Amino acid sequence: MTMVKADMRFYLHTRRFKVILPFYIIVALLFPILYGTNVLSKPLLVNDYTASAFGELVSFTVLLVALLAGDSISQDFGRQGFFTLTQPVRRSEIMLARTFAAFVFSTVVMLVWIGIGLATGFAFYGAVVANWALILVTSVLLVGSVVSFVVLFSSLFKSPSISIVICVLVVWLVMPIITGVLDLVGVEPWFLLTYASDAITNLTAVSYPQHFVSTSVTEGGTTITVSAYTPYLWEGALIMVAYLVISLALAWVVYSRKELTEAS
Amino acid sequence: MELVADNLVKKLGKTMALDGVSFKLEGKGCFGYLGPNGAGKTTTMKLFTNLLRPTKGRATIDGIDVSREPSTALKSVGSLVEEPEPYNFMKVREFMEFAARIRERNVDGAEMNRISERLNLPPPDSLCSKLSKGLKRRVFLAALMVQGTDIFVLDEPTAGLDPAESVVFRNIILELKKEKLIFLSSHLLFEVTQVCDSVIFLNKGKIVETGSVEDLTRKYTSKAIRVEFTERVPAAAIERLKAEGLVTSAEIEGERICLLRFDGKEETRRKLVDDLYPLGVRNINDAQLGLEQAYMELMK
Repeated sequence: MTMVKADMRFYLHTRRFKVILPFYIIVALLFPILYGTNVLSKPLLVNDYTASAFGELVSFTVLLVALLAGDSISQDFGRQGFFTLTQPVRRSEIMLARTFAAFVFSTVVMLVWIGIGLATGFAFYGAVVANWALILVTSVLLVGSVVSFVVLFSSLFKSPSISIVICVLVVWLVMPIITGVLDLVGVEPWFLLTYASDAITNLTAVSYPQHFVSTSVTEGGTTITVSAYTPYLWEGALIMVAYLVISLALAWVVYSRKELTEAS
Repeated sequence: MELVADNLVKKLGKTMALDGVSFKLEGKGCFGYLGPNGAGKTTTMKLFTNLLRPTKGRATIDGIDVSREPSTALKSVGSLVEEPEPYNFMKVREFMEFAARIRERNVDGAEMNRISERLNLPPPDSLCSKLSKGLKRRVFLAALMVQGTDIFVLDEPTAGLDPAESVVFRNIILELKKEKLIFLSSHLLFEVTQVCDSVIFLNKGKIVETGSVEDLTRKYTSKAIRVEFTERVPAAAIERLKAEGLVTSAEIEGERICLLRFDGKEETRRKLVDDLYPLGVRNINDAQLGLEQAYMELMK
């Protein structure tokens, strides 16, 4: 409990949470302001509006969590580790405390973000999407899985900035590329967090999309077939849980074996 | 209160940082750990604080293997290894309270104030990130003191501190060693002489000498004599003594003063004195070289 309190205090006392929260509020309010001032024309349905608001949910979540918790473990590979790691506290406890604190503060930002999306939707259309409660629950689950994923990267690298950059690149670049390739060969990307997160945006739709859609295009005698998979809700949730558990377990294995050969 | 290194071996990459180091430190007192850079001092300290795991052998604290049961073994150890930092986002008092709580200790305000005054800490609401290196180290030592452990592992605790801060640290160590076991590594021989009761010399990952500061000082001091001649140092005669094997080396320290090293045997010493007096000697003394001499000889 002492470690959890200290880690909570870290987010309350340092600038990063105080900067990131207003930043996300501003970004979340950007499109509503453009719609409200008629700079952009509003979508016809609240579902489309909400879908666009949450369209990049996983990208923003990864960026948010990476900035908040990218150094959650790697901070111990520097001078601070000479205090933390020499205390009679299990490394698993230290890691869980850091993960929990990062999860709490990331969730706060994420709920504010989603809250703004739903509230402005209500303000414009007088209604919210039917699945708003499910969206909230799965978003919290997404935050949990992303926190674990970020903690894993944080345990792998000594430098917090490297772990943040690589983690963001994996989700923003590597995973979409893999998805694109798999779409071409008709394989479901069931192992990707980005794929799982589609379940959340799908919840904004009037009706949940089909699991599998295949489109063939013929041009100049050549036919190209592109397959697109959409995760079932349970499937998306399961992938997120798997990421949460597996990433945390791997992070624990790495962190518990880490040696401090030199200070940074 | 017991620290035991049992045939400790540690490889760091291709380097053999520690090669079969064994010792046992028991009871209260200050035990010095001396050696040149790269001798393996910090590696040993890290093995006792779970920052490294041994390649072979065991580091135990009160009988508990540090690498197997770190959270139990470290209960009785407070450490200052390399350049630790207090949590930068905390205030000085906050960090001290955190350090106590993490060891499930309740330290009242009066005790905190006493330690703060003793170490001349900055105001309790100062942010740790804003402190100088020396002050950070003082805050860190204060945190160790509120933790109230029986054993302290201190790796060059005064390195990089100004002379006044070093004195504060040394005085604290002198006070602590009356009731605690202190395992201290240092480059500063006068510091070790001042605060340590026993010393372990380490070189290239191996122990080369152990003993009490007094015994080692006596042992290495007795290997040299300082001779003051009535006239100029008789260089030719000294060369003759070297050729006869009575003197292993000679250093002329002034026009009439010469330091002569020999094998340390009392018989050799007596013969040397007999041979030197006819050359016109004003004074002959055992050279007071102490630990410094021991260090120089052992690190050859």
